[in-house]
Amino acid sequence: MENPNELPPMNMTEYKAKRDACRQRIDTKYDIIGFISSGTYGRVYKARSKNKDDGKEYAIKKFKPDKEGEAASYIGISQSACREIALCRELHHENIVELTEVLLQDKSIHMVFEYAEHDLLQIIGSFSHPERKLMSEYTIKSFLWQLLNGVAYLHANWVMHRDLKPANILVTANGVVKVGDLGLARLFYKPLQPLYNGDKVVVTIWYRAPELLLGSRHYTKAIDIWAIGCIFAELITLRPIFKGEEAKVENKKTVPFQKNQLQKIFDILGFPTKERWPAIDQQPEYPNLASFRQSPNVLRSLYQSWPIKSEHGCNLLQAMLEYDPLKRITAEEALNHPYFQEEPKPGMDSFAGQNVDLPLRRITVEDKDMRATAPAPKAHPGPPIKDDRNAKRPRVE
Amino acid sequence: MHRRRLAEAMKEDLEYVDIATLTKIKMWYYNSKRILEKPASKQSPIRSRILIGKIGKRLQFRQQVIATAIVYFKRFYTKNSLRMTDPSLVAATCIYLACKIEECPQHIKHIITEMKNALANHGGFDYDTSKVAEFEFYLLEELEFYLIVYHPYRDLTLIAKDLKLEESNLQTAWFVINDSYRTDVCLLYAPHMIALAALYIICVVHAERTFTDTSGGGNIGSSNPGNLLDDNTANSIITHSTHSNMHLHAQLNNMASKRSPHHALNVEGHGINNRDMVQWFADLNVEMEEIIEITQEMLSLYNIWKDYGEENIPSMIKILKAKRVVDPSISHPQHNLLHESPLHAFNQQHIHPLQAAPMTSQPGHPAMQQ
Repeated sequence: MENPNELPPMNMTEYKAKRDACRQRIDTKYDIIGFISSGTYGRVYKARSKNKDDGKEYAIKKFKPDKEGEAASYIGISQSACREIALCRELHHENIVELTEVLLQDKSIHMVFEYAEHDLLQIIGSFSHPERKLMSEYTIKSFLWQLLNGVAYLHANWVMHRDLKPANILVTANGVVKVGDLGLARLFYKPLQPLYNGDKVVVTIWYRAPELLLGSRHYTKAIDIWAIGCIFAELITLRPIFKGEEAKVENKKTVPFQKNQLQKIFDILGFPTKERWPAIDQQPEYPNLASFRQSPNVLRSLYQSWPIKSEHGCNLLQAMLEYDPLKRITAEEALNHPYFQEEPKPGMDSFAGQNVDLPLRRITVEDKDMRATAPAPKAHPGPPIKDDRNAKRPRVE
Repeated sequence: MHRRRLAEAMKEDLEYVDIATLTKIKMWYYNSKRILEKPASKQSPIRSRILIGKIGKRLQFRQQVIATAIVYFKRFYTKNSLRMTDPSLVAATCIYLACKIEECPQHIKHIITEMKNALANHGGFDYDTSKVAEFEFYLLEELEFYLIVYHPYRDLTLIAKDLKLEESNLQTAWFVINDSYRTDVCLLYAPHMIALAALYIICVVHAERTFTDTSGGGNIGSSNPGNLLDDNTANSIITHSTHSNMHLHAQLNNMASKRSPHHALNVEGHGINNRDMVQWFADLNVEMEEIIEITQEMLSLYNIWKDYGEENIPSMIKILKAKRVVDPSISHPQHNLLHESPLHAFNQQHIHPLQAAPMTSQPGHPAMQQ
């Protein structure tokens, strides 16, 4: 203590002990029923509250500590976990998955969400296998309306989802849509730098909007609407509308040009002319468009070969798949589209009177050990449907 | 957030030092955060006036991060005492987390390096990555995972646009808001009220200035950007504090009536017409009393600031920490009182940007136009 500026050493042991003492352990609050799925972020478990008065089921998302090993150490919480916690803490809406609480244990974050029995990927899968049966227009329209309703709420609060795809659209046993996985979502009110600077690649390739495929730096919430348009078409036909092949990222600095995906889009919607999208020549990848041949928009005739006959339905789909992000319909406008005014009108129980018999979410009951951080063993029975869309989320950190 | 809870939180520390000293110590920590701003802004030297707009934007971004970090820091200390914790670790972790939440993540090592530099002469910063990352967990818990903070800057910008406020006045109001983070107003009042109070302060200063100084200095405070208002301005605010118990409406009216036409012209030259402002404030559907309270809080800050001496801070901290060795038992019973129910106590007075202040009302978002 010779230096007069030297401060006395400070010891936080007492503080930490006090805090640790009032921390509740997960196993004192929840019974783990089994393992649901895993991803790059970590693992998800199904759980039930120990509180007998509650009786509800929950999905506990455990973020893996970044460095796995016998002695996991703290290296800071990932950006995606931060986003998801920060946004879910504030968002409360019927059609957005509800965060119940966050628990910290074993150097990992555990987010406790309300449980949803299904998701659109699984539902679409079970309608196409083993034999193909079509979804009723009522169910499709209810899914679509509730999805738009949730996304309209996000957009009204300046939140962009940025990863809408069937696997992320959850559906409860009562047929209520819950938009999930806000790990890529972010606020877009006056972004302090272009969104592109934060994440070079967003949205799974099949649902990625043309402005993103053309390298736009200043994309908008319209990218979510494009994805919803793709999902709408997929609900009708049970197949992804633009099933392109992703050009692989060769090095981390450059984002590859997704020629195949754009080709799939142009095959149906036609070549994007300057008339349809006046600012197209300002897109960074615009010069690459020279290699495509001109083609017409055949969406309408394609739609006519589909089981849904509504003219308004076709107009709404076309409006959501508008090339020009400025002309693309907004979630709020879409909710008021004439398609939702005509019969069958959408409802909050998408399965009401539909006699659908969906399989329950597959749970691996042998795997209840939340402390396991290693990836599931090979012999592990996978999720019911091979989820190749969900397996890898392209992302450049 | 109530004043009573704030007072409770400070009780333990106050047994060792008086309130003014405590405020100064806290101020020192807020300032040490400002030190962290410097390395980044060095990269953008003020090459010319043309660049000011750009740098301003850059500053806005930096300030928002710093402001968020300060709010985290304050929220943490509404539940904990300085004595029991190491504010330098708390501060570093707040900055680290705020950077992530404000979407400009900094590597944890970078923040640690900056902390080491900033505290080189003040005991250093003796924590590594894992210590800061570990503390992030505690911080998250203390914040109850409410991480999105809504700041007055946005409201100020909107109001300024609405009023067609002159750039220099906007700047001054902006600095007043910067200064407000040294007080507890961001815990006690809604951001739009703080923005209004900042605006109110510059109105008052303007009226005062045109009385005392007919030559009317053009750029109040802007000679000292990002910092406290210059002495003159601060003094004129302080001298004015005797009046500010009065109802705002009456006060502004009073000032407007005392002014000669010449003065009025002069004031208009600054882009502020007090007669209009009286009407404008009157038309607002807000608690005027609350605006006055915030103003008072700000004025007392400028008072304490007058005899804030950075060189004295280390010894103040020593007093705060050292006495613990003398009688460590004192703190215990009290501590338990303060921390009975950490997860329930600090309740809904957080700012809920997505609810309390709906973001839907602002049309024409820039990102949408691009």
